[in-house]
Amino acid sequence: MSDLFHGKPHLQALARRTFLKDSAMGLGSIALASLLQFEGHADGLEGGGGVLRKLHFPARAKRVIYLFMAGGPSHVDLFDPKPLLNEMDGKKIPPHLLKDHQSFALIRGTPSLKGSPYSFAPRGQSGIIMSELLPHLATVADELTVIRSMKTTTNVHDPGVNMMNCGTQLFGRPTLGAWLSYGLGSENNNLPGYVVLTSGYDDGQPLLQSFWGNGFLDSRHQGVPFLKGPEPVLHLTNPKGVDRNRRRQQLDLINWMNKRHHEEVNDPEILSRVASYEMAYRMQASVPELTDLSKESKSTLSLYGANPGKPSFANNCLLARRLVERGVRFVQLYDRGWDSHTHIEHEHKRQCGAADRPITALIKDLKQRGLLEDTLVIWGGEFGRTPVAQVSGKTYGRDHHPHAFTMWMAGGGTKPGLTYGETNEFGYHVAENPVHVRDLHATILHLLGIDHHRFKYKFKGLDLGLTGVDPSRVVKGLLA
Amino acid sequence: MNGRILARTFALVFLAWVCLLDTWAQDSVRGGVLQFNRDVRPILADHCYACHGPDSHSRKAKLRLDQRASALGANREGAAIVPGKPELSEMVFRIHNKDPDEVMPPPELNKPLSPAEKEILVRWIAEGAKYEKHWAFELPDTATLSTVKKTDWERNSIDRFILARQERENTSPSIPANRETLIRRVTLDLTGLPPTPEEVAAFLRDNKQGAYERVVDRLMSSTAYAERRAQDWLDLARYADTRGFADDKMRRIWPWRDWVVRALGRNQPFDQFTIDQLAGDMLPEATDEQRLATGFHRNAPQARGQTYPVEEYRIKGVIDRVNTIGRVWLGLTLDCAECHDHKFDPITQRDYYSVLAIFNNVEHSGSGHGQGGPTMKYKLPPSKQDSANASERKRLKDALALALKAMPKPPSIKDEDIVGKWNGPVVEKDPQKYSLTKNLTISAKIRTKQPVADLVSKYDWRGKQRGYVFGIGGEGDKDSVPGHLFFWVSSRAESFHGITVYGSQPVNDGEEHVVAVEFVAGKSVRLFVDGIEDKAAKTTGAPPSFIAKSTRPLAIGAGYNSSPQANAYRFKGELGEVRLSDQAVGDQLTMGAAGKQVAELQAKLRKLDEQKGAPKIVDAVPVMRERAKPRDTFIHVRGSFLDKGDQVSPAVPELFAVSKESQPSNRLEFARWLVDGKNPLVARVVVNRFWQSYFGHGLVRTPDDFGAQGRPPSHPRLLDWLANEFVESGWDMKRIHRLIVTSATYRQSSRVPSDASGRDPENLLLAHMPRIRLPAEQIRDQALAVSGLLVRKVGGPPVYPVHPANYWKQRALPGKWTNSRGGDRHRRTMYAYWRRMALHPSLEILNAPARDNCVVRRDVANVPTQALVLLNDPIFTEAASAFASRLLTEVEGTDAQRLERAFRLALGRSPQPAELKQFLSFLEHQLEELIEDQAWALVCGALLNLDETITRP
Repeated sequence: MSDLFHGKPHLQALARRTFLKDSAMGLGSIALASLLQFEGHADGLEGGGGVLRKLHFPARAKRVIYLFMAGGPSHVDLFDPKPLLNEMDGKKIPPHLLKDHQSFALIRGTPSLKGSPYSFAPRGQSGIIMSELLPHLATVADELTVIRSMKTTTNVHDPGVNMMNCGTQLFGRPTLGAWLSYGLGSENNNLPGYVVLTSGYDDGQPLLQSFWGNGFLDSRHQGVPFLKGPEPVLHLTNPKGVDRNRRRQQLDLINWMNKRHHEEVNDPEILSRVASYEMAYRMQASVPELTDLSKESKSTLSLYGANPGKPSFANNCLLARRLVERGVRFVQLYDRGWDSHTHIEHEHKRQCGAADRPITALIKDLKQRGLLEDTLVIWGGEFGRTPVAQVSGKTYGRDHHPHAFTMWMAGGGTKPGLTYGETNEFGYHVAENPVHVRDLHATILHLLGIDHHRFKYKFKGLDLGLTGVDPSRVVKGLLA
Repeated sequence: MNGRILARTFALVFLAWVCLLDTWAQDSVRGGVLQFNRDVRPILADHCYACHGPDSHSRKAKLRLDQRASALGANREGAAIVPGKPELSEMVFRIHNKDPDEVMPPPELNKPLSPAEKEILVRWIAEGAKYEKHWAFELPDTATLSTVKKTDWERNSIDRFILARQERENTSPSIPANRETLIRRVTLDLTGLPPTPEEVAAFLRDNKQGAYERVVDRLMSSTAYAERRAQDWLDLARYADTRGFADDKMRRIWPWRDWVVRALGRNQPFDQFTIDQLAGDMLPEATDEQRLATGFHRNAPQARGQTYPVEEYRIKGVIDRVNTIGRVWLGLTLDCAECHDHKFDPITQRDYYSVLAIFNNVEHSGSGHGQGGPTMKYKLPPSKQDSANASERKRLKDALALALKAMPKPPSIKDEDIVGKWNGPVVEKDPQKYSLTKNLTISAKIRTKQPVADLVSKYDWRGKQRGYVFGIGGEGDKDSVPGHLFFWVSSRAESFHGITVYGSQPVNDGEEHVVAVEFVAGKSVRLFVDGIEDKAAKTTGAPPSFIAKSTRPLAIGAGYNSSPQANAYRFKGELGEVRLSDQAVGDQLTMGAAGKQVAELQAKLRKLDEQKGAPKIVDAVPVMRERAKPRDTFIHVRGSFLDKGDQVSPAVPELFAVSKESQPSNRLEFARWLVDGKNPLVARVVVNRFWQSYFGHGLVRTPDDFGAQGRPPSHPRLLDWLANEFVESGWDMKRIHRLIVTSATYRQSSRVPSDASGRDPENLLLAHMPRIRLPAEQIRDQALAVSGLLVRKVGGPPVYPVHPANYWKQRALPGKWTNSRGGDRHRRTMYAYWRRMALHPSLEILNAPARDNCVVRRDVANVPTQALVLLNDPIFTEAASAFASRLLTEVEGTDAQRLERAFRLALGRSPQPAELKQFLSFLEHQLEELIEDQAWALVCGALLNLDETITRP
């Protein structure tokens, strides 16, 4: 927020007061009193406007790019080879696997084990194992921290996405990006601090407003979904016949009236409005500049496989780099089309084909620009896919699998070249070093310098946080 | 006393003494005796109750600090609290302890007490550790009004309470707002629309006593008032047009929304309003309106997936109902007790599921995407057009009756054209006879009251022997209408290939009728009643070019229920003159001029019926209906519906101390208990929200939490006074709203006093009126009203205001939004299609909630995307253009005169000279390059974007 009013200290103070007024109810009067003494940047933080005056730990990551593979990618086809599964392909699922097991989402009856048709090999010096579906990612294996022992609590899509984003299956809770915006504020005064980009197949599961919701936090912490059309942010473009110059004149008139009214009624909120109209005006220039990929070099475009003007996951990856480069705190990319209940071989090939190169390019690009060091990249879906087949024969697919699956992270203080955790011999349950979604959240917050136990918001009498009341821990083994 | 305790005692005596000294020296404000509710409970609740509070499961050391008996133990040394003796109280020792194993609260809780909080606890124990029942659980006080010094300010009793606190804290009210501000404020607040320039002018002219009150009364009797109040209730009721969850399909619950507008418009007392909505279906002889009212709790999101465990998502719906009751009526966060006993308020998990047992008995059926609860067919109340049509219809019907009376006796088929004639029921012996295959005409004279009977049949579908059949009521087929004529003819015997015809009027009224049918193969079918062709008969299929040969014998006045019997659909009554022709001789059966007149009258009547427009019956409106046998309800251990704990029976939470005999056993009894006037919370919670709609915040600033963790009321005696007033007036909602808006407090200026931010940054004392940014709906409604676009039609199916093209597609959501055309494009925003998982983006950006659960207060943020909406959204640019052309056509005068009108429309005031000058120079500059309409659209756009415009002054 302090950047927003750069050089206008009175506005800064006013804006802060307005903010405090809005949130006073949530913070309680004691916190309010201590916040009033807060001036300038928070310790260890770039940017401002967040409630955290001081980070709990030194931040290893300052911003996050979360690559969300919506629908749930298959861990046993990508990162977690299971020779026994291949050996027993076609046999009925051993009964012991169904202990402590939620009913399947769609499979009925007793399904058969299904091995993976892909060859796997150790990649890079670290020897992280990946399947042939990810030839590009193999070249940056040594940057990744692969977690093979993820666990979540549901096998239903939207509660599953809520779990990944909010730490609970419920609707109406803040998402990770909203928490970070609330805690850390924004580093950029011309762009929203939390941006959502979408791509993939239109017949995938729908993306709901709540996936980037602010929950009970102030709505300025809501994610802004960039649209695929000519206007990435709704109503960014002036109506026909109003050019930038004319809009400036109109804004000057509006501001003149607003300031005059402020003198009359002395309400600081009016100055906040003046500031937000100014930021809107700046966004009208900064967002098209940001989303105009044609300015990128040919080599960069081809590294990503991006094609300016033609929306794609590759474009979104490149856009993600441009966003974090400009200080946007949290960028989430939803890539749809991973929900392969049938025809998984075709569909996963299609998804990997579209995602493998751009993701690799993103990591390389961040690295060569020195951004990977303090940018945390997260990859994963809302769950994995069953090591058993749904539908038999050539058109087989895999059902939703919450008991064990793979995610990976890169940069931002994670330990590169690491494979963490193990699943059992069928890739069905976690065998070693389980990482619950809540543990992942605790670890992500830790990397950003936040203690998950201390980062709470009072709502309906409860101290609510991302990690909730159930046990959660920072997975130290994942940290560099 | 061992050495450890001795040392501890010495240390503590010293410590306590130092603390107290320090407190007294520093804080003279707190010189008086501490009050448990005001000073102590908030500290205990926040720092201690998590382990030493109402939740029996997480309770440590069997110690409760929310109950005096437990805290005092056997009242001896070393008990947690020893009244009057902090030095002997374990609590004091623990809170000052430095040893991480001993100190309370434990470090891992991350809830350390501040020095000031420790002092309060020590002092409170020193003063005798007096407990008070939580204020909100005591009945409202019947307060006497305080005396105040300033005696010329008060307009009603509200002001006395407000002023008393201001005087206590050495402040004073602001001056009254000027009249232009006042009428704009009260019109926006009460109706959600701005006052027209004419309304403002009339108010400014009215110098007689009570001018303001007259404005208030005019506004409160308008439909717009009911709509605006309904809008708040829709947030609480989580009303939306879709079911929620990923599926998010539309459902037809808008008749319930219109019920709310009607109920609030006629000022239904709040107790009845409550009972109708929670249990209207269970009232003796419940009316359709009362059943419709129960849609309130069917607004709960309802999953319809195929993969969900059905029971889990049914339970989620019931849980939503209980939580909503908690927030809307009780002001309690009951939801906390879904998984465990409440940590801060005396609500156990058993309490929670006892309430759930009351709401757990609604039918729930279907599977997969057909899942859902009970519904009703709702007949819409008649509109004005309907009653106009009704009198016209009566006129036509009377004329028709006269014309029919004057009609001569209708003819039947001429003898030379027939192949057979019969009187009375009979079955032909020879099944080969009368198998007509091409054209045919049948006439008969009947008198009957039967709804279903065959007249002439060679048609047995059960026996796969189809041919032709003429009769009444279509053998009970689902598409037929009982009592009306029908004719079926098929070109295939085994399966139906042909045409069905159903008459548009009854012939079973017990009067004599001549009925007839003419079939022209491959061409047409006509029905006749009393010599007049039935032009409104409904046909399905095409006339076949030939008729199948049925092996069944021709039956007169009978049909076939299964071959070979011929006794079903037997005709009872008078049946004569049955004539069958193998030619198309329908023209013989019409009645010339007299018939023509009747036909014309009938056509007019039909046209009138078609004009009705929107369907008068709305199918499948979700409502509540109780199961005959209540479900068994169990505590869900840790909130899991699979993990069943003790079985519970219906009951209200124990804290309300209802005896076993008087426990409500069902929804109706529960609803009546809520509003019996003896509940300490309900009236307070409701009037607090009324207050919030005018002042931005309630007297209790946590409107859905009146419990230990909520904020205490800023004016407890005012809250109690309003609550008592509400109940004693017979739960008269308009009375409370009127009291608030006619108070002097409400009429103050909204200028923020220069010292406000330091002295009273939250404006708790209400020493000025807060300015409030308009809700999303009102920002659009106002733009439409100002520009002259607004269409004031009340209620009906949701409408579709202009929406960004392909927005859902870009957001990867199924479905397509088609912008409303005509008047519906510019209806009030409360009627916009409310999709839970993707609200209209402009409404969302302007902080309207998607209503996936109960919203007690909207948060209003100020973000740049709002500016983009107001500047560039076609909704607003269209309004700006319409506003401009309105000025250009309505005002024939100078630009200054147009600006005068523009300001009056948008802001309810004239421009000041400097403003006029600024706008004129802007306009002049724009006109250098733009045509008049464009330049004025920019002016109008600027006006619609002003903070002053979008803020309730």
